[in-house]
Amino acid sequence: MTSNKLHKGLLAALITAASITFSAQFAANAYAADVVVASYGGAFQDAQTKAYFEPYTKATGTKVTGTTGTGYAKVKAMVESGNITWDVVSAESSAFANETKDGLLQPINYSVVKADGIPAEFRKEYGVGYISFGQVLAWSKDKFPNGITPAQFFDPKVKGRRVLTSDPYFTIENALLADGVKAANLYPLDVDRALKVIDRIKDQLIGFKGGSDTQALIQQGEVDMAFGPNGRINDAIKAGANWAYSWEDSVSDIEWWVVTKGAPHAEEAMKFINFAVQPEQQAELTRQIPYGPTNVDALKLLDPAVAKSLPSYPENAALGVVLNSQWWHDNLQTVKPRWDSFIIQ
Amino acid sequence: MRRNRLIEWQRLLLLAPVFLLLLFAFALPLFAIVPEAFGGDAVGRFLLIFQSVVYRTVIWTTVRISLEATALTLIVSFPLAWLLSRATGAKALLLGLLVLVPFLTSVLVRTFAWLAILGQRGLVNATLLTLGLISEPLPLLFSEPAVVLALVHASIPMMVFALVTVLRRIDGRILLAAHTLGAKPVRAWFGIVVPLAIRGIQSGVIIIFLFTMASFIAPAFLGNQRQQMLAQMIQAQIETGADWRFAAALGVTLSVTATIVVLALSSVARYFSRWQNPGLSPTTAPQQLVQQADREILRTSVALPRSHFHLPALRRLSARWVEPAYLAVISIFILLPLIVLFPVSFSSADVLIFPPPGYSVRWFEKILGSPEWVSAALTSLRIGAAACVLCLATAILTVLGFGRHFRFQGAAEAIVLAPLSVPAVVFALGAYLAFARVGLVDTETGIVVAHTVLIFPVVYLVVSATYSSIDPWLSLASASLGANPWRIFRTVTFPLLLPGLAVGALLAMLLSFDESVASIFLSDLSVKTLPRKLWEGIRFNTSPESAAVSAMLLGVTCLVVIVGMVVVLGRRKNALLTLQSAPEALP
Repeated sequence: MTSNKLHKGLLAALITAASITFSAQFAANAYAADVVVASYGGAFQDAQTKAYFEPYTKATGTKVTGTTGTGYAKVKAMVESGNITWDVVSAESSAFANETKDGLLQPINYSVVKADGIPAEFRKEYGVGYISFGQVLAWSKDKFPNGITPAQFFDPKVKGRRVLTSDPYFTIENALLADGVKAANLYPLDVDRALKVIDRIKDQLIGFKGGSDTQALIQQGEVDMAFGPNGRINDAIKAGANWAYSWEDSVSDIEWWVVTKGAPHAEEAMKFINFAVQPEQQAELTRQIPYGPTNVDALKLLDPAVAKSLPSYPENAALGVVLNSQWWHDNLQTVKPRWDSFIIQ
Repeated sequence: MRRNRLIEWQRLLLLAPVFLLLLFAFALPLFAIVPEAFGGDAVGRFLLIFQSVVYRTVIWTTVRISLEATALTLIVSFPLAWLLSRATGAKALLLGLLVLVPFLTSVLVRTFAWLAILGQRGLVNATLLTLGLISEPLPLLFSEPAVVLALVHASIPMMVFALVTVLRRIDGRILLAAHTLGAKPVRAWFGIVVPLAIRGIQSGVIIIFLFTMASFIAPAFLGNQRQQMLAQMIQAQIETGADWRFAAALGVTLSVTATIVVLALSSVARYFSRWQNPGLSPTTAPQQLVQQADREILRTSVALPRSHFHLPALRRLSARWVEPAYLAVISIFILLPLIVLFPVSFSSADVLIFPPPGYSVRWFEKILGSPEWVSAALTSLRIGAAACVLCLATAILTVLGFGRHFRFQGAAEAIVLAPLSVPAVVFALGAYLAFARVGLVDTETGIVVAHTVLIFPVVYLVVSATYSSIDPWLSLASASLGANPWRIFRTVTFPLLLPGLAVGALLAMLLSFDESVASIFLSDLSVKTLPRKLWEGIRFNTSPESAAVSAMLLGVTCLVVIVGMVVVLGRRKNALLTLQSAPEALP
């Protein structure tokens, strides 16, 4: 009977599928990594892959697995659950400060990490500062041929689609500076005032988005003005977006290499960090994306013209401020809930 | 007495797998959350949620968007499901494909495709600008209609699947009979078809409502902070807040809200099914049925059809055009995000822009040359196959275990369907916490188990709806002819269940393929499923690479579906033949 044949066929299919299931287990460990590095994805991580990950594998034979999603919360959750998969993590100053505060990191082994070119202020017990970046104002040249100022970004009379960063840090600083707060008086941050400033243009915001989202929105023409990391905005322009940016009232910050407490490949992690902070690698990253190397020897390897697009270039630095990670270390716990409530209203 | 007890034991054995699965893979993981949500300063936590205008707004937004999306999905899908259930041959194949094909595309990609349709430089704005209808691009993205549109689009296939299994059982001549008795179309539909289809409508509405309530991808990509939904907040809390306890409390809030709304929806469904419930009818003897039937329809004096004196020609013409017009509109709506994928995946641009500035195959070269994409596809295939087998086996055993009479049917079904009432985000969080303790995080087994738990209730609903529409007298007849339970199952129940099982298997495979929440939580570095890879791709790189991946998948899976449908259609013909020749085949 036909139906009997069909039953047998179905049974055979079930058995086949079941055997696939069991054989699946053998494939599970195919991706065993020798060192795992967590970063931010997108254009920045592509640059890191070219400047650090691939050359490291070539030089040592150690496989580098790049992953995304770095952030204070993820590191905290990972270390507290004890299920640690990340070895090296790239962290912003405020994330770094809070990770250190909560004891989520292990000390950098400075007998392995040799980077004399990196100033002492960037060689902390739990992390090595490796690049500087700036949160800058950018605009569409089609919409604003004459450019805009930070004050105009927060002026509701200037019509346009805007995007801001989903994190409270940088954005609160940007808003206060645009509202006329002097750099010297910026900290401690007047959060109430900042939220009022942002509230003025909230109905013209398409939303609060992450760095790589901002780049995508710019490239797709979804927004007319944005605050975003200088490297990604530069990358969007390189990819064809008719945009410009300025260093006025920018907020610059340091990106750190840290190693999670209980990292499965801690020794390799230190070796990787040592490789990544060497002058040649640091210079290569800057060639890929204009973030400033912390290693002073790397600057010597770079075309002097490149230096002009870095946050550390004196003329750029003079226009903006440096993020105070100590303030965020002390205040993130209280500001974060307020910020979260603010942005969803 | 003794025989009864024996049957109970058999039932328990049949039900053992599902309850073991639910206990270890569902209840225990959730149990890992509950102490989190209610541990420590629980009162303060829940007060914070319910006293804060913000969270109340988000809860209301979530319910509102979910209800809007569910209602729209039902309205939009019901005619399609009806037409599909009536269709035969090529039309059935085409309509089936219309439903199946969008299902094969990841929700992530379909959401992504809306960016290329609704964006400032997207399809809609480009068309309107070219036609000169607008001078400035319309702000379509980052609004509530955009989110609802994407949710409806994502929900249509599931709704049609849920409806069609039940609608197919309705004898179309019943409408003819109603018409003969003088019922107007509206009365015939709402008095007959809707109550007969109520099991399907109910399961469809519940599935869609809970799916939309737990979704965070559409509001995240297409909405702004004003369309923020609860699931998004949970995901944000987990990813950036690290306040696991608060995330757990939000999860509890979401589940409770969902349960309340689902109960309300169920009572509405009960109202509609007051005189006919295909789910319960087999439990009562035919005589009882007659007594239970609502004779309201018979008591009402039948109005004679009025003569059509107002524009009969126009009416007839419009009636003739309704179906093709509806089919055209719904086809465009369903297929547009998929069709857009093709030009976009051949785009030479780095982002999704419509129309593409130029064409190239570089994205296809990139993914085919990438071992990561290939291995992610294989991983998803393995996980999907395993989850599908586990779901089907468990669903068959559960349906048989419940049988037709089961003293605690209501409670037992509620337990079995419990995973549906827990948002995937919350379950994923619980699974992460619990699986981490036994080393199942970042393994294929862990994801298979999580997928089985998440997908099993959907498969069960479909299989049980099919089972409840099987005439119980068939089993009794074969038993009285001397067949043992196994033989009854093999020769009567199982063949009749097959359509439901096939639909269930398709659902399980596709849902597992589509499932991104549990995959994102439970996979990390060793195991990367296709949705996770797509999620990473879309989140961190707005390249047409993801569109190219799904365009390729679309091609391959279309082929599989066509082959599958040919087999199913061929089988139906065979089944008819077998039935006709059955008397001869019997010894």
